[in-house]
Amino acid sequence: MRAQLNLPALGVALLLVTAATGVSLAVANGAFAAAERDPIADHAATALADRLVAADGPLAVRKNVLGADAVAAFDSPRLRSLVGERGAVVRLNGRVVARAGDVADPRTMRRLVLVATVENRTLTPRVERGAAVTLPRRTDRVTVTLDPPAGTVVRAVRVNGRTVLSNDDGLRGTFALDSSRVRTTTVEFDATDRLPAGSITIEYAVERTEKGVLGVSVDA
Amino acid sequence: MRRAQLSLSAVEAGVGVLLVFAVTTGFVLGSPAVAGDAQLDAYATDLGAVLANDAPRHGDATRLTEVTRSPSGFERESTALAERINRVLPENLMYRVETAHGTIGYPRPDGVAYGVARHATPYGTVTIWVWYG
Repeated sequence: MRAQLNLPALGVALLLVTAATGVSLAVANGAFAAAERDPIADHAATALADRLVAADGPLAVRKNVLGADAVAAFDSPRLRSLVGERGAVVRLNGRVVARAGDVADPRTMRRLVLVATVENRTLTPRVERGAAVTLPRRTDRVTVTLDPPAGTVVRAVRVNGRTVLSNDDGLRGTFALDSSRVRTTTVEFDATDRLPAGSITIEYAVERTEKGVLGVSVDA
Repeated sequence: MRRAQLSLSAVEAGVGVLLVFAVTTGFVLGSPAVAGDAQLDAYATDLGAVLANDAPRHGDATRLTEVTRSPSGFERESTALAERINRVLPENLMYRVETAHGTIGYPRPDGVAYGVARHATPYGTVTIWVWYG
């Protein structure tokens, strides 16, 4: 009696194991399909995009900040030198910046960037004795030209209280000053008399940034 | 006596099914996760870099250090920071920014791919999540 009950039980058992195997194969297949990519082509796009936004890259002034001049000067040969054999297109806000070769099957990477335009501004302040000049914008590029009137001696120039130029016989000429982009810059002059307008010229670079999306497509 | 008569094939089938599912679990858990989208990670990293570049609205070095420095700084600047993020991020992206003093952005939904970036400031870490909304 028992032996005959075993036949349907075996049938049900086989059915169970087969169903479980089928489900498992489907799941494993799905997992493999999801994991399957074209890593080399993807990596080419990712690496080129990384290079373009890197602080020491061909376009960037700082990390993720592109210089408008560098973007304008970026052309096919320079893109070709970065990307090698593959075709590639670099777009800024959808507008093509440079194209090298054909991109039939694009792998695209988009990066958020700022595009910086630099403009030089000049201040020609009148400085009373002991007074200081505060630059209206933060900047890391400041040049000061000293041309004091005869009889007045500029002994030292201080930036934010730190002496950066010093000469007891008097300073005259053009000097670049160290300043920080993340601090307000105040320039003090240690002069023997008041300095009239024109005896000091301060030139500083002002940066204006606009947001943008850098699209980098590389052919697979 | 009848209790002991559970069919041997049924027992074997049970063990077999368990074994097969064990192997499947290995495949599912062992294969690289779909999460960790390179594009989303890049968006999150870029957002941190762009915000860290911005000049602050009051004192301090950058906009990000301004919100991480103190609770009052966070209170004051969080709305402006949210506006700035809205302008910088493409329209199809949602974000959440977490600092020691509070969070900005949207609650994170379950079951979507995220990009994550952590940005160090002198007063603590800012964590940025980005996802397609």
